[in-house]
Amino acid sequence: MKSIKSKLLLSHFFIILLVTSLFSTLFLYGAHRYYYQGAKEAFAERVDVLSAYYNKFINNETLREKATEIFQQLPSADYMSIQVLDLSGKVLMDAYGFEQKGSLSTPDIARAIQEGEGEWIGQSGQDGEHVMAHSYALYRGESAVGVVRFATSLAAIDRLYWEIVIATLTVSLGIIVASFMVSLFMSSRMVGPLLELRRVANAYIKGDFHVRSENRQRDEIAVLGQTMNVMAEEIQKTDKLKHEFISTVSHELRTPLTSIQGWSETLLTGDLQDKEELLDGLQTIRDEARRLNGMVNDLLDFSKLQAKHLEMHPTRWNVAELLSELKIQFSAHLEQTGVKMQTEYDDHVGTITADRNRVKQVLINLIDNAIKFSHKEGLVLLRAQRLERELVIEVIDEGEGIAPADLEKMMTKFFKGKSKQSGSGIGLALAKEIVELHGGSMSMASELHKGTMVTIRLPLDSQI
Amino acid sequence: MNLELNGDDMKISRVVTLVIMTGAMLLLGGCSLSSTPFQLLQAPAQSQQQSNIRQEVLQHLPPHSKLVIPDNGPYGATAIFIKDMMGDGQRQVIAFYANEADEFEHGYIVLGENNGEWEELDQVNVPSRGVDFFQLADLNGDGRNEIITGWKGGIRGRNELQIHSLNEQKKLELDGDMLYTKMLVTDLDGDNWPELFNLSWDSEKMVAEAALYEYRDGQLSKQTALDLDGAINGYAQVVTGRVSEQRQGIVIVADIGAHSSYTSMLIKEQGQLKDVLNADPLDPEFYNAQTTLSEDVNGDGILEIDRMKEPPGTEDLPYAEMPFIHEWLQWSEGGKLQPVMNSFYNFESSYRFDLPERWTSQVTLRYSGDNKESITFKPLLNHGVTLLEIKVVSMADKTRETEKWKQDGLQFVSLREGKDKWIVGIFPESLEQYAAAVKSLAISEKELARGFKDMKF
Repeated sequence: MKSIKSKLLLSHFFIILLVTSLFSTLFLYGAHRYYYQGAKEAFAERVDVLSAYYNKFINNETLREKATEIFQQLPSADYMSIQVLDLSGKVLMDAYGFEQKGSLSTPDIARAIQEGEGEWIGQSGQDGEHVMAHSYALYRGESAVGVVRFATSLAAIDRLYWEIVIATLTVSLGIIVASFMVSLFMSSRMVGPLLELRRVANAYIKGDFHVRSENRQRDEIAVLGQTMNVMAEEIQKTDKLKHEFISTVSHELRTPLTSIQGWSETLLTGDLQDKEELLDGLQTIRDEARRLNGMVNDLLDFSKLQAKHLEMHPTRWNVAELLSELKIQFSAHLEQTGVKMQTEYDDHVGTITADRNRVKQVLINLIDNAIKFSHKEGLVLLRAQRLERELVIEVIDEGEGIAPADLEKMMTKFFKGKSKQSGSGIGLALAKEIVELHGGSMSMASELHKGTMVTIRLPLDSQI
Repeated sequence: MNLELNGDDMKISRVVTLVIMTGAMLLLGGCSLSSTPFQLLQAPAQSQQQSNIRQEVLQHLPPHSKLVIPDNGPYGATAIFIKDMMGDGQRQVIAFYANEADEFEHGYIVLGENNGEWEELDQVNVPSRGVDFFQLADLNGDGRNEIITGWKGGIRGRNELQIHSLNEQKKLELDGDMLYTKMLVTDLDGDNWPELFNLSWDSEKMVAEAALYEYRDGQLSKQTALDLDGAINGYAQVVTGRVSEQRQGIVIVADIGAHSSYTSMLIKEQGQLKDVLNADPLDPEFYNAQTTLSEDVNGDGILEIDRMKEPPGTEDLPYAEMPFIHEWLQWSEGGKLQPVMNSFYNFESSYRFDLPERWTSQVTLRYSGDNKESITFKPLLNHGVTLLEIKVVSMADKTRETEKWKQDGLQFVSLREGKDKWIVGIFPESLEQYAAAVKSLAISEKELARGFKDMKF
């Protein structure tokens, strides 16, 4: 497996190599063009003029006379040598004034004889000097009788260009080395945090959620680390809630079961003829079983809700009817607990489209809670109000209230508050889910020792 | 990413700075970066010896002087000569100069080599209009070369000849001088003892004399002389060389009239100069309608002379349209002139075509085209056949002409391709349908290419 570090290094290296070689090639090409092309053009410009002058003013003579004449009219140019050659390439005149043995056969000469002028760059025969030569035909009348050849040495340009090449390569190499070092350092810095995240994630795999990412930077990796920290915190919280829930539920389930078990044993060992006691016992067993059933239903609903399997069956129904129904249903319970309940709604409250049973379930849950946490002689107010687009139902009690710290968590799953009251801790969460499934919202306001108000807002025409 | 500068970064940036500084120093160390490409051009390197000699020569020239090349002589167009004058294996340098401030001052300096250093031995300064002639020759047979120089005079084309030699003190001594018009160093009697041939022409008096001088015992003395026709415009050519297997001679081409000339060939016979072409040198009869120069045209080492003649079958043509044949003649001891070659010349396009030998007297020539672009060669027997056409085609017409020849079933050979002119030889595919006498005149591609020559001047 290739590490990110080596991948980064490799790609940086190639990019730098590419860019550096591209730029140095371009630069060297430009320099080459500037010096060689520039020299060529400047040289050609000068010798063009000279050859034109020679052919114009030294016209009707023999080649030897031309050579002599050209020698008399040499320009004072220290950058070139001038020679006059015959058509076989033999050097007739050399501007230095010496007799030259042998003949020249570079391509510029043949070309000049053929086409009037020719140029050539190459190594000169005698000493391999890098030479640029321009040759021009010398005419007598219309025909070429010889060649005047201008030659200049490119040695100084070669030297300079070579220096430029060396310098460019050195700088390029330097840039490559320096960039490599920088990218080595940068990739180490980038990979370090990733390794730390892996360490943290490995700890989570082993179930240790206490480990935290320590990266305090502000880049993406650091943010990921912080997200992982939050995730670990959430997992820890949920874990804690789950544990509490399980113990609560077991406790809640055991209470009715203990009661049922107790009564059944009492009845089995007791006098079956004592009709009153028998009825009491059976009634308690039935009630406790109902309670158990209710709790199990809640749990089932909740798990369906979790799995998104909770189905809604919306119908159109009268809100006032449901409220009075609830009041009647709770009357026995109210009598038992000594809590009073009032309903408050006007005639315009009208109808709503929603799942009637689920809404009823929500309200039962809320009223049940309100009664549960009310003091004796306390008042529970059930109020409904029709607004333009929504129905607002409030359940208000004057009970213990909720501490501000708990209020936020109240509607999350498995949270039970500090009270020792019985309950699965999922009622409120379930109620909230149901309301939200209708497209509505549920909120809570409370003050410790003063009371609590739960507000449900349901759209009049919910799209379930 | 938030980059903080820590220790590592500092180290890296220091390295980068170092590298950049090194590169910049290398770059700027070149120091010639500020030069333009043209300023970087230098003259190609001379040999060290030549450059030393040149340095020394230039140092010793009189003020305001520059090097000049003698107009005539057996050597190349050279101003600085490196020669062994004493015949002792030691070389001297002779360099000719002209004073730019005084057009009548010319001369030469002689340098000698001493322990690897070149130093001036002596200097000769001649009031004259220029250097006409230079040759080294051992005239007196003492094993040392004399310096023979000719200096241009003013009017009447008279020049001054001077003979100098280096004495034991390595100083120049004037051994003799005389006036001349044309000067040659030659050996007409073949005794390996060179003489001076002095052609003197007085353009005013219209008299001319050819004389042979010898230089013995420090004296210039006239051996023999021959009066020549002096009613001429000048000399187109005065040249010495072998004129037969055994004999050295001198060929003189004198301009007369508008552009005609006559040719003389001088040899030395029984101690006397003799013109073998003209019975009476004062009334020469070897004329040519145009000035034609002699040369060793067939490369056998013997000078041929050129006689222009009208090709057979052109009797009706006016002079202006006459395609002259140049007949090259070799002189032989019996006095007979032997034709060795027939050539056709195109001076305009500077080529020569040597006709195959079997065409002699069998082929007639005719110009065609408005500007005589073409010359055609036809058998005398049958004017309907073109044996060969040599045509100068402008490059613009090349494709069109080529197409035409192909259509006509003609072969063609490119003889010379220039910038805007193309010279091409065109000849028929085959002459099978003609009589044997015509057929035998057919020219091959090889013969054509061999016969076509660029003219050299």
